[in-house]
Amino acid sequence: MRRLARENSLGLVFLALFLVALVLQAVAGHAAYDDEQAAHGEPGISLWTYVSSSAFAVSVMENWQSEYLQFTLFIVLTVWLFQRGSPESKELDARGRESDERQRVGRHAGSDSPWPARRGAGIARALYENSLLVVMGAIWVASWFAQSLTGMVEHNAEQVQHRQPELSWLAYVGSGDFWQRTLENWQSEFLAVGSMAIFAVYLRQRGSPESKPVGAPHDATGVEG
Amino acid sequence: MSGPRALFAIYVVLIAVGLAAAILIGASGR
Repeated sequence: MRRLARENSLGLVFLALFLVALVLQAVAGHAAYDDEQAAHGEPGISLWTYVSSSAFAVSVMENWQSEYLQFTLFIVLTVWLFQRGSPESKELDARGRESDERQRVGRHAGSDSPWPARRGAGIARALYENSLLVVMGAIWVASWFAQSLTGMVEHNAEQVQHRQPELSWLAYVGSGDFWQRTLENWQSEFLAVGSMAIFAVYLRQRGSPESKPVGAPHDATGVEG
Repeated sequence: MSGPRALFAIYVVLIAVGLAAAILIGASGR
């Protein structure tokens, strides 16, 4: 049991952090929502009503979509783009999807390779070769769509409160509210990823695989600690 | 079930439930 926890501590700790943060977000968001209601002379709502409302869902989804976009972009762009000296980049001579030999697919696969990797070129292997990108990208698209739906409901509730006309979904995805919610998250993700890739050229964290070894030269690209 | 396999399944279910719940909430206009 102890070994199981130790060997999976990264996934387990982030899972626990996610659940605790989500619950705290719900509690804090509910308090803020009720304050707003009171300011408008409206009655408060229960925590459950808040958690199952678009007001809560949109604030969760707008952050989900930007995180998944960040990783989706990172996965796909690092296939072709480089950052000299960064452990986040691969070696400068390995541009693109690389050879079957290097990727250990088809006849270069080992007996312990995942079964689609051992297949010849075909649908199963093509799908598996891109499965991380496909799944992360699908979660990004789905959460961005969910943000658009819940954002529209939330925006329209506000419109009604202010005696303004409600927007259709199409009108909402062209609105400032939708793009403001979207881009406020994107800009921070892009900055964090870009700065992480560059900072890791010159800065180190001893023991972290996100960093190069402390003594690795600044020029070494694609080396993880 | 191995540890990584169980965690993989938990994350997949969590994300799927979260996305489905948000889409249903939005679609129902709540």
